[in-house]
Amino acid sequence: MKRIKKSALTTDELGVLRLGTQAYSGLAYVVTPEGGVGSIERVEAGRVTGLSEDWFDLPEGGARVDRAMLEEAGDHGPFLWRGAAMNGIVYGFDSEGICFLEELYKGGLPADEARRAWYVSGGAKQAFEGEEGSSWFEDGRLQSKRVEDKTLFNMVLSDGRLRSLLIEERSLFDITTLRGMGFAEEFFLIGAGIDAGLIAALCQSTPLAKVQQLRLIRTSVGPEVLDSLAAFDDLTALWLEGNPALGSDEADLIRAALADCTVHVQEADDEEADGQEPDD
Amino acid sequence: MSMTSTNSGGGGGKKKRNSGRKKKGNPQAKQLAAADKGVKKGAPKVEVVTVCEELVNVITPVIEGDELVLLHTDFVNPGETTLSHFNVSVHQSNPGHAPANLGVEITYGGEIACEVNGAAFASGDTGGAAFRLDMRGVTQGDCVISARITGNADPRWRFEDTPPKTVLVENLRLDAFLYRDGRTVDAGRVNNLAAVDPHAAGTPKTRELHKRNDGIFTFARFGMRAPRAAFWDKAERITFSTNAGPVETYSNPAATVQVLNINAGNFNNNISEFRVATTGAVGNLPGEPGGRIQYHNYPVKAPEKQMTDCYVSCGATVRNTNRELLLGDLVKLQAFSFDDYLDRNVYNECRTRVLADNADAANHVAVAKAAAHKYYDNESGFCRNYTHYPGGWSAFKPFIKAIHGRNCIERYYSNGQGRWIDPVAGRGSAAQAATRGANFIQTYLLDEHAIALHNTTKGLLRTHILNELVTNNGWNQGLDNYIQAPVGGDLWAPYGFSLGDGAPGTHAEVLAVNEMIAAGVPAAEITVATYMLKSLGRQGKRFVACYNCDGILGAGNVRVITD
Repeated sequence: MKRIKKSALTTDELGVLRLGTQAYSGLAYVVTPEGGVGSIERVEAGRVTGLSEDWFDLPEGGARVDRAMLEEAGDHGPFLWRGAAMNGIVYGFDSEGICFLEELYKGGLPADEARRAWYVSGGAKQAFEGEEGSSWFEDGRLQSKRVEDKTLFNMVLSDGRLRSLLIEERSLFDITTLRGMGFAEEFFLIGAGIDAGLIAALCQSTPLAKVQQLRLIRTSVGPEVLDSLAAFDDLTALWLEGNPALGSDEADLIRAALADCTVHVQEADDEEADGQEPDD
Repeated sequence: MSMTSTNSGGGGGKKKRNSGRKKKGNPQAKQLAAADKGVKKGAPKVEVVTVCEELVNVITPVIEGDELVLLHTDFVNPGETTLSHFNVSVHQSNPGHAPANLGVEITYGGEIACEVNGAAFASGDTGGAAFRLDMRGVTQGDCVISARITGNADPRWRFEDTPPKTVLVENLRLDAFLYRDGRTVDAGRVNNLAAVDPHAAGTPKTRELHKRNDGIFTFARFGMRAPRAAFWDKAERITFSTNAGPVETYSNPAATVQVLNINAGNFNNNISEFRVATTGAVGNLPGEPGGRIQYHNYPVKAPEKQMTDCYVSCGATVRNTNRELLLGDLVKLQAFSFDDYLDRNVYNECRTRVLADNADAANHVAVAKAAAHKYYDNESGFCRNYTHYPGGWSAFKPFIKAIHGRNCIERYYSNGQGRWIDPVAGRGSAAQAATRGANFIQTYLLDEHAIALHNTTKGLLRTHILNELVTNNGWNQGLDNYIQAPVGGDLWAPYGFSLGDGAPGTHAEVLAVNEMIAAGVPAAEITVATYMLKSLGRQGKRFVACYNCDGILGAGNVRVITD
């Protein structure tokens, strides 16, 4: 659904709201000259059909404000509106009036409790409220999902190519969504949801086997992954970090099998340095 | 007088010709010799006055001049080479009688090419005047030059040769290393100037040079190859010269001891090294315009590298004459202000991103690039802030939780009217907390953004965290610390870290520096510039590092030029 500042629309002689030459359908944000966002109107085929409640609830004493009207007390905040620290919901509009952001602020800064972002097309980009949130690619595919303190799924793109795939919850991953995607030369596979079977499947249906550097981090893969790695013709460096089923013996096997590849190994350490670090 | 050259391609042809002319038993020669005898003895008697009027004119060529010629051929950056020369004239014992077509034939080897008045010398009539024969080195070696008189024969004169001259053609070689201390893109060429093709990548005739800046940058490193031992019989010293730009030559790596010339004793393993640096000092970066930058009305800064071409060459001082022969084989240095270039480069990238996608730019906050100020052409990509999870959360609160420790996390939130913390339980030591914090950032960047934080960068981050906890008392302040915002409101600053600045180690400048560190560049040899992307008042301007970035980069002595 498109979201736009109402002042960015034009009204023709018949009273039809237009975006360019097209009758507009979507949400229209009514923004006052002072930057206050008063309401959101629902528009269908150029006609206002009612008010929308598709917004975050205001905190007590808060206001809804156009982000462009905020002032910043320093390079890193806090953000001020009318001379006071911003409290309420902040809306970001681009130069065309497209709404790309809605975010809760407290004490002049993003409260990190509620935020939504959209692509120019109107598609959802990010959404979180409370302990759960997700992000999506512009075509609607899931990009990431995080619940409480754990990232369950994440795909990172770099220069339009897939660079990292984190899978903790396998049900969130659909391998068909990778169809047609290019892979970066350096590639990260992260998370317990990645096992040797998935890597074999990725080799079958994606360019994974063409990457030059591969990092396997906290995955479930064991030494059987060698069957797949043998097909990585261009692989020059392999990092094995924190994979419980790949101890030093298994790493030695891999190292011996991949003669033209430098293998770096860091074994799993559940505790990291918590409680083990000597005092300085 | 006419002159004729014969380029024999070597000295051998000329010798044959001379030996033919001096052949014994020639009747005319005997008569002439008898007449000469009277002339040479002088003191003519009265009765031979008539004979004196008919004394034979002995005509001899005279060639005098430089015995050293510099090789001048196939230069990458050709300049003027001082041509060596011989003055050619004719000595006549009795000038009253000489052939109308008197000439001088010059014979020389293929080691040199000769010119008269700028034109290639072949032959010509000079009207009897002396002339200057200019010489240019073609191949290295010894070149024999001889001269003989030409003209019609007549009993009243005869021609006599003069001993041939030998000149030394020397190939002086001056090269610059591509990078400081010989570090090149090809590791196999490191510090081995003598063993490589002088025009290969490691020893270029053209290279960039950062303008001198308080001695913190390295300078252009040059290598002069030793000439042959015989060179020093002909030359007293080798001189260095610079032109068309503010550069000077120095004998030491710090470019403090100027050197203008060297001699045979300055060569070690056939190489003599020196440094070239710009003169003067680079000023501060130009100021920024006041007010808010409107990119649509604000120009791209081009060129990003404002280069000044400078040239370095060498020459030889001819022994006993003090005459300077300058070699036209120039090494070209393109001097530019490194800081100004980096600043303009990042500004332009910031402008491009803002114009391309204002909404995206706002979310990314800043763009930064780091570069190695001692290694040339070693730059990071453009980096931006990664302060948030892909889903939109800030990494700040999870970072604070990591600092606080797992065992205390449930005590984090407010309790009724305020917040309370257990100041001791489960936290461990500040050092352990600093390690947890650095570990968290490393995992966060890896999992959420596929950025591998190098262990050295992680160490700098941990140093900063520990400093914040201990030196700045964040450890004792714990979770429940609020500071007054500049205009109203409170800012949460748990453990001394600011919610506004976000999690340390996630900002553009640190990530750009991390790229350089991962590439093997020491932190202290990295410079970074940052510009603000976000769509507020300082968008498009230099972004002063936050206290986190300042602490992290400061721990590694990284140069930040946009503060």
